[in-house]
Amino acid sequence: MSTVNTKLIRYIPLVMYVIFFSIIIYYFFNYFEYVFFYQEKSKLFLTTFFDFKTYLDRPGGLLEYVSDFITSLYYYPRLGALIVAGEIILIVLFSSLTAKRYSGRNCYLIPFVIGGVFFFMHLNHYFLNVNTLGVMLQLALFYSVMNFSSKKTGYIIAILFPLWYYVTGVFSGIFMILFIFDNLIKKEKGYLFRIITIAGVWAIFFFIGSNLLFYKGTSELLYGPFTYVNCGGQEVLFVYTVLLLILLPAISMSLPKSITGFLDKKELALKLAPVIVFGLVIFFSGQRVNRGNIDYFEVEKLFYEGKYAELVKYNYDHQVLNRLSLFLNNIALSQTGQLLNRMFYFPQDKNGGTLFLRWGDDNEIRKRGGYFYYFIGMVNEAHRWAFELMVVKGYMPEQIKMIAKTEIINGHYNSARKYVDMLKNTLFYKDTGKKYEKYLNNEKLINSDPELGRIRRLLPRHDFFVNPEQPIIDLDMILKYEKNINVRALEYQVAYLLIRRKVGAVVSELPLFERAGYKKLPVYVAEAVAPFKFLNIGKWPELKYLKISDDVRKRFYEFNKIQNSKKPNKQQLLFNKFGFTYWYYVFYRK
Amino acid sequence: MFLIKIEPMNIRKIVFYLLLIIYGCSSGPGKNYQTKDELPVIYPDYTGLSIPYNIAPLNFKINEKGDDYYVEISNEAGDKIEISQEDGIVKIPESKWKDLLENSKGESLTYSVYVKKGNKWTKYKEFSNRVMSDPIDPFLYYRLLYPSFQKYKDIRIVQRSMESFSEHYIVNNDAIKHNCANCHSFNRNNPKDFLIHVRGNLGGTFFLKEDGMKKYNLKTKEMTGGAVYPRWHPSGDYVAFSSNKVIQHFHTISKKRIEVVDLASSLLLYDVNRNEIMKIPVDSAKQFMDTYPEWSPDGKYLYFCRAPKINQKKYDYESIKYNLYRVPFDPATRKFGSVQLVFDAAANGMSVSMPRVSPDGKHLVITYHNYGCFPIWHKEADLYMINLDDFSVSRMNINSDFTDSYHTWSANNRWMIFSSKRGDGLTARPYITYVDEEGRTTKPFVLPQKDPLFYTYFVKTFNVPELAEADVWLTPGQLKEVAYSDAIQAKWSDNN
Repeated sequence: MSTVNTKLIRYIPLVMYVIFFSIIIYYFFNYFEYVFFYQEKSKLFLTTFFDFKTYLDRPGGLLEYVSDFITSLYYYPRLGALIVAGEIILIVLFSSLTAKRYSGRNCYLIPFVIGGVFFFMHLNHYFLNVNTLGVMLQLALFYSVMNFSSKKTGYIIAILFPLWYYVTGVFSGIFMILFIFDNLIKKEKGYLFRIITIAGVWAIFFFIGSNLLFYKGTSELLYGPFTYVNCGGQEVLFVYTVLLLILLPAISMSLPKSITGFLDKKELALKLAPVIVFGLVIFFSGQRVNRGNIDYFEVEKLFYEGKYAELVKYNYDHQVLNRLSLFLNNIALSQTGQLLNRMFYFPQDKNGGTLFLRWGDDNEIRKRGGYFYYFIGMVNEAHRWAFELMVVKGYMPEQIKMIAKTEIINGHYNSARKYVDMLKNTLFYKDTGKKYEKYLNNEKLINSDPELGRIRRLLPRHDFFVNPEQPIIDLDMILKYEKNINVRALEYQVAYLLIRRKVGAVVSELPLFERAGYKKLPVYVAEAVAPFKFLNIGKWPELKYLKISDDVRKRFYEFNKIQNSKKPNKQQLLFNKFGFTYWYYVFYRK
Repeated sequence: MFLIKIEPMNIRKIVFYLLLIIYGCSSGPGKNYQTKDELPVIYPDYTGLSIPYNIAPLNFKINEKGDDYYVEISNEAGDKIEISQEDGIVKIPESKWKDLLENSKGESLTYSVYVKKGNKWTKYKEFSNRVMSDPIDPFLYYRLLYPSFQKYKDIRIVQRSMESFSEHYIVNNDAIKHNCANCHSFNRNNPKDFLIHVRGNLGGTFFLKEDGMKKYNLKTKEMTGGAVYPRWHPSGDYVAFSSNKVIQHFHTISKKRIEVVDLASSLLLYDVNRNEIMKIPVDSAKQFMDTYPEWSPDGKYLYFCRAPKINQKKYDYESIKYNLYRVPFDPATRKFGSVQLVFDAAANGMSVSMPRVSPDGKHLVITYHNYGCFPIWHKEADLYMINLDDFSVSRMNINSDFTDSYHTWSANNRWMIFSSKRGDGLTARPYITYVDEEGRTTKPFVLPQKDPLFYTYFVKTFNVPELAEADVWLTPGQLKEVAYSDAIQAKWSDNN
């Protein structure tokens, strides 16, 4: 029986690793898949040698290259989750093994704490894999190299260290400190010289690199590729975790005998200690579950896939309130012809902020704002938003697609080809690239494409300067000067007027709906203009055939009756019956 | 100690395969080929050119379908380079190319292209390049950046050898907190007098002097705008600048992208030795916008572009037409004479910008376009030449359907490099043309690259190409040292 127990105890650490891995996977799969979606959409990894060379101009560039490659695999978010979980497990494993090497006894608690913190940091979608991979590689290399360590190899390691610094950047500092620690502990002949060598060789390389090789600022050379942005603003937590990791061997060695003696007697407890960490991980991970993020990124995913009806349904079912979600929702409504029929089923920003995003310095706004212009046919401006983002943030899949599409629509095929080729030189956007390649110089194919052809038909023929701070002016210009009515622009313009409660202006736009070929007035337009018509508030334009339906007329009178009554619960009554009408929006929504 | 025992039979096999590798890959068509009376389609188009004898190899891709390719480049003396390729990408060995050109001055190089399909070789019609005995300046400097709208991040000012493919940075703004760097300027191809502007928190005008590079702040409280487009006086004692207040707009129609409009501009003179900056008094009534200064090679005239001030209420930017003027200058007293009209482009309903006088003072090349003074975004922009003997103006035969703009002369007057967007309509590339004594030009060709397909995937634009005769070398350390140093403040002078 005792033997069986001993065997079981031996397997406990393995079970702990499996449990920890499972917890990570559980949370990633169920609540944080968007982390991988977001990161994959933030970087387009190109497989060309030319692009590879762009990583070589700085220490840590090669680590970034590998990390970017891994990030491209996040195209399948669950694969990404498995990779990151694997990296975290390896950090735990190598830190545990390293601590054991110096202390001679198993060490589980702190390595799992370190792993737990890394997992926690990864739940922030700005925290990039380069940090985890960088740390993991230091531990892996240190553990592997030390297995073959001798005085001779120690010198070789010290001399070659700049190469490792070039490959992994600031993270190599972890290796260097552990190397120094190892030498200080072993105190083998020449250990001081080896320490001086590794530090000195690095300092010389850094000096030469900073002055002759790398066109980078000193702080970038010291800290790159680690940045405040790339760790999601969690730099304090990250630095303390790395410090703990570095000090772990020293801590495990320097425990007083009273504690080590106690630990030796409590082997089972020691091996089960990670359970405490798991509890904390579950608690803190639960705290980080963010419904808003889950919803927003689901909406964005549906948007990129062109699943507009599903997007609207998702927003409606989940009552999403995020402004960017609502912005995409309005585009989806517009694309499915429902903007003026359903927009007040959703909250709307009173300044039009859910209809169009205003140009500014926020890259998250720049990433999405161009889609409004794209779908109303202002292709140049959509191109500009995508291009500006590329200039500042590098290649991103959706932005490169946008650049390619806008160049194709505009007939700039030679320029489009470059971006089409970019897509072709990726792991997962090859097919998109090949699809667009067929469109180059093929007017017939473009014009018959349901998306590109339709947008091409909306292209402005009259030139004017874009007003990126006031998109409503652009809509006015399009509607004023274009020979054919741009239906999408008209709907957006009227949607804006409705939101701003400028009902008189909506009335004066009614003839445009006839010119645009509407068979009947959209619901909210009819509701907005009904008081004008039936209460004779203002001048009614001449219309050939469009009129307010009897249904709207009846409902309006009903609404008006309740609204003018003195019932104490009239708002509730109106909400129950007219909650999604324009009339309710005007009177009760703020 | 060998792990594998090599039998005589194995040796024979190894030798056979080695021979197969050596000869199998490089075997040409021999005499078994058919001929085709058509020029092969190659990219870039390097057929029928006049090239300097010191140019880097003109690598190209044969855009004809085939399984194997063979190219022979020979001169009149029979010296030749043979290249076999399976993918049609012809990369000419640099040393052989150099020797061939050196021995072919004043002669023609003949290119014979053979393409193999199945077992049959086809020889295309031969084409040739004339090797001119006039060298081009050994270095080209340009700014590399995205053809972007408002935002910028990575900006590089690059020195490229014209004789090889080597290049290095003069400025890489990664080292200086992504400050913008622009307007690199030499004094007539001589890098002894060199300056660049850096804009941002490390900003200033960096002047290269005998004791190294130094940073200056040329903006004084008397100035409404900063110093922008520079042009060195041939003496090296002065730099003329324009000072521009610029606004940028974005078009909505597909044919146009960006409009850059000057709202105000004037001319400034900087005295390098006295560190003084002053107005160039050519517009005392403040009726005009003056920009793009350019000195005559003798330093006695300053050319510039001028348009009436824009009516900011009406803002009819398309009606702004710049003419070319010049004004006499006395370097000893720093005094300017009366303004003279050189070319009335507005009379033709057009506008001029970027005047550059050839080093011998015989020709002046301008960019000629519909309106305004920022032609890089004007598809219709073309290069025109003014003969400075009789001021006659002619359209150059090097233009394309796309923007042809910023240009630079070689020190010996025989070569000109200009920016052209003829490749994709968006990104500018440096094109090289030979200019003879009478100002006649030859078919322009794009700056050769090691990878002939480079321009098909490179999405950045080559901005402000400038030829120079010698090397400017700024290490990252030097660049940072200058950028982080305190700027030397220029003094305002009324020049009374």
